[in-house]
Amino acid sequence: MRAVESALAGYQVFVIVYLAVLNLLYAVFAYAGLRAVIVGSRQTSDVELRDLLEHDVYKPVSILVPAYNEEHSIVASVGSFVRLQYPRFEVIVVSDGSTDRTMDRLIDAFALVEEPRVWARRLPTKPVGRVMRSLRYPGLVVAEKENGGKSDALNAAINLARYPLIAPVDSDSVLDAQAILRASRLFVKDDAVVAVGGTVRALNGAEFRGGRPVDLRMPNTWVERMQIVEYARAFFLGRAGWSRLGALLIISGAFGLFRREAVLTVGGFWTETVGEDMELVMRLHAENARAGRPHRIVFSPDPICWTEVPADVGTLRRQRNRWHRGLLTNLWRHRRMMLNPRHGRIGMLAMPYFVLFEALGPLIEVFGFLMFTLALVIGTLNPHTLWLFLILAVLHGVLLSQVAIGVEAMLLQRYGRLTDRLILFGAAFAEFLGLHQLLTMERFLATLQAGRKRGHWGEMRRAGIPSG
Amino acid sequence: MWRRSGDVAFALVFALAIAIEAVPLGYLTWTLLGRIGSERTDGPLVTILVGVVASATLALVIVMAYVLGYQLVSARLEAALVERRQTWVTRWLRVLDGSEPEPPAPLRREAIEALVGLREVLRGSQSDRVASLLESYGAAAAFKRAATAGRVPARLEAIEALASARVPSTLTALVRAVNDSQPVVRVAAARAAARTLATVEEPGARELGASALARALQRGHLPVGIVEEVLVLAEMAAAPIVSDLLLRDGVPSATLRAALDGVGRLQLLVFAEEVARFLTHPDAEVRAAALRATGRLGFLAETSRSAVIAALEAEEDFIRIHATSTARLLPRDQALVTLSERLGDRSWWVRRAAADAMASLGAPGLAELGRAARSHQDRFARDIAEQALRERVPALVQAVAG
Repeated sequence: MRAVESALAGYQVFVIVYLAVLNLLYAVFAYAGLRAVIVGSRQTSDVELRDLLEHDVYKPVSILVPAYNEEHSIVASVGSFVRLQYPRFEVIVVSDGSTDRTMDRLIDAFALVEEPRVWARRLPTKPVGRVMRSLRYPGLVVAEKENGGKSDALNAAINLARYPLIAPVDSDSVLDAQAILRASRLFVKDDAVVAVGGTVRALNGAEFRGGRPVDLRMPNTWVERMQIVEYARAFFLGRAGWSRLGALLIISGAFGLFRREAVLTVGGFWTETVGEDMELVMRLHAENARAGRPHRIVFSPDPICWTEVPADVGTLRRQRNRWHRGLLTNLWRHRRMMLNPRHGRIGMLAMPYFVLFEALGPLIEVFGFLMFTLALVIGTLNPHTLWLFLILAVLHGVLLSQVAIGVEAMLLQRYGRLTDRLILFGAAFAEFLGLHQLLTMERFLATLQAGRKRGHWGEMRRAGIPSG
Repeated sequence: MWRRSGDVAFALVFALAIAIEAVPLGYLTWTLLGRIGSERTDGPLVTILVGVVASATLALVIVMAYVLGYQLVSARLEAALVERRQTWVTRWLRVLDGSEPEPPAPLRREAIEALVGLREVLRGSQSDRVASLLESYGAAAAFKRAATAGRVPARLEAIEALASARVPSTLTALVRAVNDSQPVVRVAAARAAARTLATVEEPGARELGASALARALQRGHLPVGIVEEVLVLAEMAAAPIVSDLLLRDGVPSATLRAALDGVGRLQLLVFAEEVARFLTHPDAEVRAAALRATGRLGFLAETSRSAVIAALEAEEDFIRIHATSTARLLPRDQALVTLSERLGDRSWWVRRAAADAMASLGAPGLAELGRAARSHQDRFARDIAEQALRERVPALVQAVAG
């Protein structure tokens, strides 16, 4: 009994120290992120963007849109892509063996005609069938291919791309009119930049006009509201902070901009993971470091992509399960970077953080709950102490969420109503009173399923992007 | 995209909140670590925990109060500022057309912002008058001071204002900032300096400014794209900057590439001979830039033909791509033969460049493309020739149909 008590006490201390270190790190990232937002907001001025449009100084961009059974959202999202403010770009949609009306909707909406085409097949992919071009938008190309997964579709799109910058985007997303303009600036400003990630925000509840959100309103469900807070925290504090520290490991698959040649050099997207966005970034870090090539992968809060977040718990759970399996696969694949000084801050800071706090986090948290419960039952833990610890953990999490909500309030396009802001405050609390625990459990399950469900995507239920 | 007011204050509020929370939390962690292996008593721990929870609550309340306050007042303050700025725009326009006297100094922030905005919008003598007003009211000097000292965000704002104001007297300070220790400041200052230099009309002063900026660009190790942008923004002053960069020894290859690309982009035909000198440069990237510039200038001297033909056989794909595009400037028959051979290059991009170059040669090029599409010995050459022809069809139909 004495040994059990000692073990329980030891684990309690471990969990508390673990949480203290995690919170300290979060605070550091948050502060670094906040600084990055402040400097970033002044880095790209309106005068600069106007100069860019008026003069011939830009890099053309290929926007890559992999699509699988996206009949509800594909027309709205592609419509937003072809209407971007950018002097020279093309949009390449690859239907990855869609079995619904995705192709029909595209053909009708954009007047597509078949066009025999030759292109450089630098990345191996499943066979590509017909390639079509729009009669309405000369820069829009749509290709059909056998189903091979998102990465395979992206690789096919890279093969078809003609321009030096590529922007993989999700087909259920909408890009801000200036998103490409703002992201591509960073490639001009720094020759070493190989990839730029932008902010992803939830479009749920927004009122659309001209294919873009014009008025942000709170969505109906708390699941969506909590994700608004979650996204703000992840992008404005997390990614911005990691980028400021020079150790960014993820660029969201919803929107990123890459040098095409850099992606081709490392072999394109890896088809064996469901976290292809993170894996590509990790491989870009790894291969460039091995080759001794100077490279930077950065996050910029300015370029904004709107995406539809899951509106029901089931879809959200499947999404988080997939993300966590992708994380585990990617960390395992690049385990040699871990604590490897050759990889600088990526090896010595980002990798240990992701392993200890992101990959193992759910295990430690779930075992923590079990241990604390056991300690309560056998009477080795004072219930007051336990409650105070839980309250403290919630308060700290909520504090970071409120900071992220504060950053969101600084955007010109923000949730403008006072009631919406109060709901966001509430959502920041509510997240820790059920959803967080539920998603921790899902990630715990994903850890157990990582080997068995490898490559499994899971059904995503979506309402579709509102037209207007 | 962002509201710039209140963000620095928010960072300070956050730092304060974290400090309020971190100190008791650190004490708690220290206490817990000290308890490992010792007899436990929960009493003091609970007391410490209550203190930590109280401090965390206080930190949270501070942050939430700021955010809520910000939400309430920011939109209202901004709307009022926009209205005041609009009033000043109207007033300044009356000053400019002489129907109202100049307002007395000192000016309020919105008055200066309105003036800076007008400098961007107006053209000709009215715009020059705005620049002199910015100078006479001391706004240019204030921006200059803010641009060279202080915190990075404030400096960036001041440099942005100077980029719009384009007051020649601020050029020296901006050129100095091109060699700042902060890369973001260097980039912003280079752009602002180029925009300002473009407004200097007196040739002697322009030459001096261009020379100073060229030296700063070399020392500043700016990215290629930014140097190119500086050349475009410098407008009439681009030629002296390019001249300085191409003729000087020891210029970093990245800057050299940008200067060569600037020659092509701005069609500075006067530098055609200088560009030709770089067609055999040891740095492959510089050679490629020289080939690009030659292609854009549309002029290939007889003495440089051999360099272009040699580049067609280069090991690096990117050299062959640019050499192929430039090969259209060879004498027509030689160009058609050379490009037809390149249609069968091992790189798809070279084949593509060859097909595009042939199509750009007009009827003879299209005829040769047609022959290649039918009977070129290389299958890939036939494919790319066919595609290039097919892509031209809509344009040709449109040209014929008017």
